[in-house]
Amino acid sequence: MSWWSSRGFDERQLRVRGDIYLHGLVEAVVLMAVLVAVPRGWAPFPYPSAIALVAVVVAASVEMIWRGAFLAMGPRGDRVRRMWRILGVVYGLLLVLFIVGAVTGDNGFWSAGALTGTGALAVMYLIFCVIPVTLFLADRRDARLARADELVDEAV
Amino acid sequence: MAKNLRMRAARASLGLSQQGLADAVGVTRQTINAVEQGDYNPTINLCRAICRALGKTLDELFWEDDR
Repeated sequence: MSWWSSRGFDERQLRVRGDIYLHGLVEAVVLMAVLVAVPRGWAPFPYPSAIALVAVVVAASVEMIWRGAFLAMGPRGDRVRRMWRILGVVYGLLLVLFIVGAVTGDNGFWSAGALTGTGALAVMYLIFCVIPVTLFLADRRDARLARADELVDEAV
Repeated sequence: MAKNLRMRAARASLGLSQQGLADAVGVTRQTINAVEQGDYNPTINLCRAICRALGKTLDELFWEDDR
């Protein structure tokens, strides 16, 4: 186990991350195979593949977050959490720009019914938006579960 | 895996929250919860660390009672 990969994660988190990396790799291969078969032209090369890879990474991250294995313990995990909160604000602003651009129809995101390179990048950033949202929801869930456990402990 | 009620009772008798035990042992609260709920099978090292934190033996907390 490398120093970089294990730093700050406990044994359960490492096991969960290992499981997720394994099936994430399989999902990426399957998705790439699907991309070869779907009609092209909805975004310039190589953005369809990039968007697919981002989707797989975000899906794996969401699973890690929900299973409590995304953030390391201690200051390192706190720093990463703060970074994702800031990015969440940035992604939110991009979402607004994207929606306004789509509604007005006069922007750099769309051209002749297909995404431009800028539009494809915006889609990737928007997919990343899912991570800070999931972190927020998971934090709320964990706080609720911790309070519920404390109530049970008092009863015991 | 069955829930580990002995571990939970030992923790509660010391007035420790799951977060408090997690901090003492050096794992996350979710890991302590997973062990107590029977959702995660801890390694012997983690079992020993939990026993040390709760002042119990491995038999008292983790040995399955077949009776």
